[in-house]
Amino acid sequence: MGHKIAHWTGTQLWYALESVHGEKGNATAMGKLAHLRSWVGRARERPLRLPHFVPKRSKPGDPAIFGFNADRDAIVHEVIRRVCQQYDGDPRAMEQAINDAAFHETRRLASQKDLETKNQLGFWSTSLRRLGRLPLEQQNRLLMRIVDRFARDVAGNFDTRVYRVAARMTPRIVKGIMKPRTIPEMLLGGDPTVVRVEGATDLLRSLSRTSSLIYVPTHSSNLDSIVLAHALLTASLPPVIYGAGKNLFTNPLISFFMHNLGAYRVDRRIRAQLYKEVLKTYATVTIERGYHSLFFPGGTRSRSGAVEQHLKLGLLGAAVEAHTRNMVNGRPKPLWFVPTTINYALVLEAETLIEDHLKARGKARYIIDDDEFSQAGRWLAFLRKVVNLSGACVVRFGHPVDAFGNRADGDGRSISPQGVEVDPASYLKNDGQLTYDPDRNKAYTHELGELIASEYKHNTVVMFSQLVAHVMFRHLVAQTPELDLFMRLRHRGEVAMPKQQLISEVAEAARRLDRLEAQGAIRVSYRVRHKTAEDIVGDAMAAFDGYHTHRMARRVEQDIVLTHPPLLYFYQNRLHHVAEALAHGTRVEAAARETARATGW
Amino acid sequence: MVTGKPSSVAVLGGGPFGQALAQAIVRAGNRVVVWTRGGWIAPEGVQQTHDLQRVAGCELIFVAVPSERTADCIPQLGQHLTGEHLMVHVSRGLLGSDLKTVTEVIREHSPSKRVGVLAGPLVADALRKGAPAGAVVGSRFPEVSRAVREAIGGPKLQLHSTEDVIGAEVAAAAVGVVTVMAGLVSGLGLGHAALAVLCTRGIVESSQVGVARGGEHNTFMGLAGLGDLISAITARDRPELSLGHALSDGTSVHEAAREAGTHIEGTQLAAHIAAYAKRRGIPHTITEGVAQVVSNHRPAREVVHQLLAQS
Repeated sequence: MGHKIAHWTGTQLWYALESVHGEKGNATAMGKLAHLRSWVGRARERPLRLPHFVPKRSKPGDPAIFGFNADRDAIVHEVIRRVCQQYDGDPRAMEQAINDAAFHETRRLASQKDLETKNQLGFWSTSLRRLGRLPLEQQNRLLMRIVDRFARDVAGNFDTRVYRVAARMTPRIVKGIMKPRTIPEMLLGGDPTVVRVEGATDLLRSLSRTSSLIYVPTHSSNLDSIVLAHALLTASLPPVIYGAGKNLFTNPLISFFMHNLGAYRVDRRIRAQLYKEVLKTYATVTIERGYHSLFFPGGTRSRSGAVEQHLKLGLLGAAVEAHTRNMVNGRPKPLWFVPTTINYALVLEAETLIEDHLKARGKARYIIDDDEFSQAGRWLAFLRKVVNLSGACVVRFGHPVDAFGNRADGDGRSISPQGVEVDPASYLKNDGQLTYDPDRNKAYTHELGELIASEYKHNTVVMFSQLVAHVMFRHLVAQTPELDLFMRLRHRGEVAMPKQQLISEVAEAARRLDRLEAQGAIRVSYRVRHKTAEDIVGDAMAAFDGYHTHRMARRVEQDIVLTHPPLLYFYQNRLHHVAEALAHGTRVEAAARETARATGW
Repeated sequence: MVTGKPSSVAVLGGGPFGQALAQAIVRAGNRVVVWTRGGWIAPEGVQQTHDLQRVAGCELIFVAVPSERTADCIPQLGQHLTGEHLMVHVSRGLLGSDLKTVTEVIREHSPSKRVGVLAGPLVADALRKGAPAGAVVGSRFPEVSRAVREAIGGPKLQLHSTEDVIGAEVAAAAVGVVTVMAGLVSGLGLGHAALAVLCTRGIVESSQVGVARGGEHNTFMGLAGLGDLISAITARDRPELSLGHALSDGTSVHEAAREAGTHIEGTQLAAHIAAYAKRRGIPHTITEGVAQVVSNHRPAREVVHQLLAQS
């Protein structure tokens, strides 16, 4: 291999030297050259950042994220320090953590056949092999190197110039990215409201000036991150630090904007415990430092289409911990959680998601790599369909609550369920003293999770497609009383519903939804509120045909034939917590109860 | 609460159980304030008050009023409370057809979040005398369990803890209903086997309701469920047992309740639980049986024999 070393990339050389000489490799001339080349190699892999020719000027009142660039390295260092510190004095745990990381990464990379593999597999497999023989100090260094590697991979970057450009351009970018030819048209032309924003936006704007906000939205699609970024911009809400799936960064243009808008990269393929600790610590540290942030407590996209009800408490717990630690340490900047729902008339990946759900009955066992999101052609088809549907997506910001479940008022005070002001610090006191109690935090986190899940239900916005799909699916259930769910879903094209009946049932359901909205049980979209049942059905039939691979329903003379029940089931799952109320007292009440029970997460 | 240092605990409600709690608190070396309307001769170390502010001056507050009174008391008390207060209730009741629990009332009508329930075979008599007994504290917050232990714990009181608050609360209420059934069975003189069959089925049915409500099955098989039921049947002094006895020979429920003496948590409870179960397709024959007898819909003999005949 000797003379071929000259042909190696700097990166390969660096790794090879590392494995042979340890860090001493850098000291030699070859080492320095390798180091320089590897820097180039690494820079190529890193996200592109604009060079700073002009010193940044942060105006007072600018959101904290504008100073993020300067803070970023400090944050990364703090993350590395904290994660490594956990293993001080516990060499067995450290060895286990390193072994776990190297094992998982080796396995993952060995099964991937891409550029990333070539560059990284060597490092990991060597680490794995040598771990057993490394003395403690070198293990420590290896640990730091691994954590450093993970932390830098995750870290985001925020550039105010990009933010200001994006703020003006994003609606067009969202469409334009997908249809490059039309960017000039978009830049010059009008802009139909593809994404509607509603909810507590005024309150959030005023709170954002003095408090930290943590948005916790529902998760339906990989488009959620982009839609949320757009919604925040539209509502003039300050940008947030958030983890977006790495697959969102494959398109260079989106990646550029995402990375420079505060998104950090979450690689869900990585199973290493250390990586997860890095992610959690990253979120914790950014929250502690007062940045606004965002994450999906559901953890993954809803496979069944239903609003998630069993939330993962990891990041939520980290946020509660960060906040309580701040309060105990005398840094009581208020922090508010914002339950948010994202409501789509059409979900990009619906077919893959529902198929996965039906196969696994709700257990999200594996990451879906090859779904509609990863096929560029599907993006274009989807967005072309959706951009012509105004209000195709509604983002609703629920009422902000503190870590203990109390709502915020306009002045940033916590208000108890009784309507009385309460001091958040009182929840952390024992005998009048502020104390830090992890068990207590765990309990608060659990209750916060339940509250957010409940708020998701109340803030779900029923879209026209979901309403019509529900009425159709309920009819299917009513017509097939002897079958179970799976058998029903195979009845494709065998059950029909008279069009007039569909229209009148949709009208009745819409009336009841209005009443439920008045009680605070759910929300209703603009279209459902204002259009006639006939129009709503017409719109739904148009939406059901022409985007998804399978057509969901087909008109045959005066009947609507239900041609693809799985998708109908998917869309109507959004209404499952009001299904019984919508049918109470009618002949389809039993069928409605069954649809409600059939939904699983 | 700091171990060893006598601290002030409050008890909301001066009924027999509230009084017994107060005595247990004093015996454990703490000070206690009892909020009560009626006058009673308070033993040494127990202070009475009508002032909710004084109650709010204590960190740990036991809520010992009947469940249907909580809707009044708690909002009033809530005005004086902060997030600092630890609230533990001892009620065996559920409210309304949604089976709302008292911890839910407390969370809804006060700022307090660190709440819990004291359930299990703990009766006023044992508390008062310091006799060997056991109970379970249901709370998500370990500090609440610790506080209860320090407040009333003693060498003869075995306190367990569970995070399944809802389960403990539903179990406590369900035991009352099953105890009425036990009273009916023994009042009809049907013997031990019949008693065993219907009580066991009653607990199992109840656990399914508890799970639907958000609790865990195991809680019903522990002190809060089975444990309390065994105590109720063997002690023979539970009001629900007397109620069942009285109903078994055709006495109206109002008469029977008067005969039984002290307040019985919700004679409507069986009907509510049965309705809840029916809505969710959960079997509820025992509960339904009790509901029918209590409402005088059907005679006890007919109901119980039918239940025993089913396979």
